[in-house]
Amino acid sequence: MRKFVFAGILVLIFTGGMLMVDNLTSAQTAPPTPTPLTGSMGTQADPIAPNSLTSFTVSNPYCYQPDPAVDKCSINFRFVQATDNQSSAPYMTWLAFTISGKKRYNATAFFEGTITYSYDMVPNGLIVACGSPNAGGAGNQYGNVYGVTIQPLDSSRNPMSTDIANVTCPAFSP
Amino acid sequence: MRVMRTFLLVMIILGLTQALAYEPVHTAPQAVTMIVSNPYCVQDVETAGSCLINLRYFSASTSDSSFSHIEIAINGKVRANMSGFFENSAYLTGPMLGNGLKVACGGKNISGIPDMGRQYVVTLSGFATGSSPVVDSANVTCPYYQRKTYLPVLMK
Repeated sequence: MRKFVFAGILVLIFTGGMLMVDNLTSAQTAPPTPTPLTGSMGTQADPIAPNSLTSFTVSNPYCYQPDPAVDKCSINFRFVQATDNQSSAPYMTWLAFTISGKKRYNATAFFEGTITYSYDMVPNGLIVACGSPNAGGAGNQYGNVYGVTIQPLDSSRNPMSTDIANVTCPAFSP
Repeated sequence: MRVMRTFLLVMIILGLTQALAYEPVHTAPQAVTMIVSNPYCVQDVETAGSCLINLRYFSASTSDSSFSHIEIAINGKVRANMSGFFENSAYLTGPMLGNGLKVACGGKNISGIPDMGRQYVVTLSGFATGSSPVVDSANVTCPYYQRKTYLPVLMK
């Protein structure tokens, strides 16, 4: 009698153990979860937090190679928009884009509490070197990888928010 | 004795049922949904041998957060890349690529198509983590480039 009950319990423990192992294995082999995204509206600053931006919306940056015979690529964004309701200091005064540590774009909030950037404001984009195949480690079809930082800044040039993206450019392989 | 055997059998069946019931369900990765417009080729300056390939729009998205990036390739060479950093989708319009992607127009009938220049394969691809890329390809034929030689006018 006891032998059979014991065997039954063993079967249950064994199947339970198998399940746990399977769950752990499947958890390990599952594809890595991408960075949380915030939907089509991009990032949204907390409007309740004091001294914060009302909103900060950024679309995906991109890189393209207009002429394959020239080692020049263009980085651009469809749109970026930052709004400060100007109710309390610090106030948003600038919106800046930095590519690999170098400031490349700076807009001033003077007449409006909102700064909007659209790709057609810099029609040819921000020119960077495409780089040789696999220069950034993204494969032979790609060249340099650039860290692009978008920051609304206050009057003391302190960042009020920061969005960072790595942008991979096509390779220059004439 | 028979009761014990039955009991053991029931326990085994219960165990197997439990195993099957708790088998983790792996959700299928979401394929990229793409909407693309027709690519085109334009020779904006007649006297130049370069043409421009562009398209009106190219958008891609996934219903979950697995979206990775989109690519535009011409004859297998990647010419534009947009990654899904801040959005779960990518949306590219023609003007976002400046004047377009420069290619050689090619001489008359070079692709075998009468009164046309070179033909290029334009590949639009959308990528998501954990699933195969979605690829759309189109042949784009460019206007030809008629090389002209101007002789100097000699005054007698």
